[in-house]
Amino acid sequence: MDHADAPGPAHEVRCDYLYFDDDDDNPRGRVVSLELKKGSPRAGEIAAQLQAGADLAQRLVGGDIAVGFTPVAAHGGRMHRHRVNSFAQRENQVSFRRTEYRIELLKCGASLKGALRRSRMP
Amino acid sequence: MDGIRAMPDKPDADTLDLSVSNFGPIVEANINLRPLTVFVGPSNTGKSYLAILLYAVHCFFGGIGVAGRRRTGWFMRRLSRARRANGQLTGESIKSLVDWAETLSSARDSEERVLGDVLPESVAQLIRARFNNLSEIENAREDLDLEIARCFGVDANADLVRRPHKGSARIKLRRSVSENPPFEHAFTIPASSGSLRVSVPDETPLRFADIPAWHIQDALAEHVMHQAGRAHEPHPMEDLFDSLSISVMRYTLGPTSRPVRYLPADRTGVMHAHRVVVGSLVGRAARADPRPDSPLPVLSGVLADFLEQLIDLGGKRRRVFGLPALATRVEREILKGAVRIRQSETGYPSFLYRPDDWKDDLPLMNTSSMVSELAPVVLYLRDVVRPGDTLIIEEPESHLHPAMQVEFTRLLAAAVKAGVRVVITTHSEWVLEALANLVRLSALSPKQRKGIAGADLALTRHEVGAWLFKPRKRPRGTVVEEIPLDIEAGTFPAGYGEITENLYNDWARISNLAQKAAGH
Repeated sequence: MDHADAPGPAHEVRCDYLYFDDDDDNPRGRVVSLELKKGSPRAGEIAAQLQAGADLAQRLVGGDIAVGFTPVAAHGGRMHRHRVNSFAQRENQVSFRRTEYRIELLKCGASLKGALRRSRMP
Repeated sequence: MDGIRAMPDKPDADTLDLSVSNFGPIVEANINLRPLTVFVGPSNTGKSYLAILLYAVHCFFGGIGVAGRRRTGWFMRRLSRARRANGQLTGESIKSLVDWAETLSSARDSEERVLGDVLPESVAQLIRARFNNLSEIENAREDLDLEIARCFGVDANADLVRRPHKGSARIKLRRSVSENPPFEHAFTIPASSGSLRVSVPDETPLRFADIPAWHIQDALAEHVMHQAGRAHEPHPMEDLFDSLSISVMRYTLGPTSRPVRYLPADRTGVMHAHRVVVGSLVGRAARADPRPDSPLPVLSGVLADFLEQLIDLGGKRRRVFGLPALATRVEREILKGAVRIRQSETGYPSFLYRPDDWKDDLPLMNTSSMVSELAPVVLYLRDVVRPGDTLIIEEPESHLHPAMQVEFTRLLAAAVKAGVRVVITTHSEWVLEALANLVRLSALSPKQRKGIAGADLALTRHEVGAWLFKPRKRPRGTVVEEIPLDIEAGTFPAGYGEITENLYNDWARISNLAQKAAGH
């Protein structure tokens, strides 16, 4: 989403990637709002970025297309327990089409595909 | 990985290192033993194995103490006997010793203890010559084998060798002093044949740990008598040389030369059932015809020593030797009550607990598991453990609420501050986080620490070492690595973070599905 042609003003909060998944496992399709952090992610900051991705995805995907949504924070650091727990708080959920989603955590280097399969989002 | 900053744990110049390979589940371990050493990692990776080995090494070199009665280690006993076997000092050697003794003896009170002086090279050479022959001390290696087998409760030490076809298990204890080459005490646990080797480098100055001034003065007085022909052989300086050798050996061994105590993981059960266990052992020991289908029960040395210590606590000889202030702190801040011993007429003890504000004692078996868990710790701290001793505790977190785990970790830090060396095995992230806080606290000035929990208990990173026992697939077994303090994560990360994240992710998935199902 840092590409010059990415939609929206460059100075605004945005996520790193929007990933559109429509493989055989998930014929309905799914949008993944993805943020990458080198170190240990902070829930509030990441939630804002993933929310920007969700908002953009809502504009890009027509309202008549059924699609699932998963917000993912991939990180390379180690998190204290309280930091992991902060992701569970309501204010750090990401809203997509009037549904609140909890952010999934992914270790850098782990398989995104595997994590999405495990999440079994409709 | 920019977000992570780890505090490096470079050891001090004066350190004690333990290297182990091909032992039990352990492929390789190189551990710097600090005043507070933590073994952490998954189950069955060899944490207790290494802790028991450490106990056995202490027992062999330094000895164990049972309620104030010290049982000297086999090694020191053999070293002492070796003098008698090795024969007499030459006239020149005696002159060197007399010169050294006269220098030390002058202007000292006989009650004084002479501490830690560097030996002049003329005397150091005599000591080195003796130590170089230590591997030939009769039966010393066999004693070591027996002590290890006793502590583990195995019939043959070959059972402890990880891969016998790859040779023996190798254990090396290295004590570094300043920048000089380290002293080494190395041995093997034999798959077929073992060895015991001591290396005292010529370049490393020798000190002695502690000798009473009266001993030196007596030896000099007897030397004068000897010169006048009024004393018999052996020369009185032989006896002083013997004491000096043992004292120097204690110095080369460092903390390993001091007594050790071990609180096994199943101490709670022992506290509840010690009468039954002892009764069973005594009953079977008296049987005239040991039956093949019902062999005599065997306890591991760590468990047997723990039982012996408990029984001894009820003895009439019992005196307070330990750190009673620390024991009281455990009672006041964690147990909220007092642990007592009631002696029977035979001296066999009962252990009781009286909660604060109660008038009656409760037998330990009627108290919470936390009380049973900590009662032996209180008794050991009060009556047994002294500064300089090593206290090994398996899983100190057992049966403790997280808040109490944190409190107890601070008490372990207090024991370290009082001079006790502590080794623990743990599965508790609370213990690791509490330790991390205490180490981080040392970055603040005493003024800045004011008002923070554990302010008086800050430990430097040179005082705390956390070691991760990691299972490895090839070669199959455990390797041991140091865990640096991770300032970003606020702990010594031992893999628990992944468990937390996985649990959270499960929670996120379940919640997302539940919300979807509810039609939000």
